Amino acid sequence: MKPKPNIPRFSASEAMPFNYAQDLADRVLSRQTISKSEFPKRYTYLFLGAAGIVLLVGLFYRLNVSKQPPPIAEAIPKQVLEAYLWNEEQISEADLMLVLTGAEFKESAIYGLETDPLIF
Amino acid sequence: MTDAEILHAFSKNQNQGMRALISAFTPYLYGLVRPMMFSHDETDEVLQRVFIFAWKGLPNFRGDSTLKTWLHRIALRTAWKYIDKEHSRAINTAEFRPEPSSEDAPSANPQLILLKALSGLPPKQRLIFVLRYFENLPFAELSALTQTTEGNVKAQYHHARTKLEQYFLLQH
Repeated sequence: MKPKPNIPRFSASEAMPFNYAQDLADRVLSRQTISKSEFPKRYTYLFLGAAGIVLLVGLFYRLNVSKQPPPIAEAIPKQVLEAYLWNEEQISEADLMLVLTGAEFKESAIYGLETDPLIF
Repeated sequence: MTDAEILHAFSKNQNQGMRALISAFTPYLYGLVRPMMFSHDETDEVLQRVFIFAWKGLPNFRGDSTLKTWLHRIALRTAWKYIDKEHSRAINTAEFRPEPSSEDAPSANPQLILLKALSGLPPKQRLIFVLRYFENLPFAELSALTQTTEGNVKAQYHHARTKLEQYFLLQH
């Protein structure tokens, strides 16, 4: 019969570090306390972050929409458009944009085309 | 402290109850988990998880079993999950290196010799051996815990035991 080797039994009391139970209790308590206190905070931050993103996207969209130029057919007075199309050397693309962006220039620009081209 | 005293302390003040529970059962659970792990740090991590699970579960503890039995079951599941996940990940990514420690140094301490011998076994085989040899867990329970067939568990145990017997024969 084969001799049975003596495999020793493990003894926690010999292998466990001194005062380990106390240290473990401290760590478990602090870990559980942190996870408990972090739980609502984490969700608050998540909610605030999501709300902030929605707000920013909304604001950006709103600003972008308000900056959209009006349809070109409405914005360009017929006379200005004709002046541009038929008389390109006197009214440049930049001048046309100036007319489009300044409503108060519209009328004067139209009449200015006829009277004084230097208005542009 | 008795189970009733610990539960009473927990119902009055959870922190104090947990301290009592940890003080009462840490030596037992350390003895159960430490041989399955490669280092004290791994054991510490598993025991922290065990007691955090216990903390969450203690308000619903019905007292069908003793606290020791209940914690024993939690510890087995937690240790198995830890080995299954952490060690498999480490092996798959070639990170697996049992840390050199004082346990690697030649020593006359039988506990350190035992741990060194156990560290030569693959993690799952080690767990099966420890639970069968030291804790007398039935093969059927080991099979359920490790989610493998009973035949596979028996084979793993046999391999582990043969390796350890050879190791200790060479020691003498």
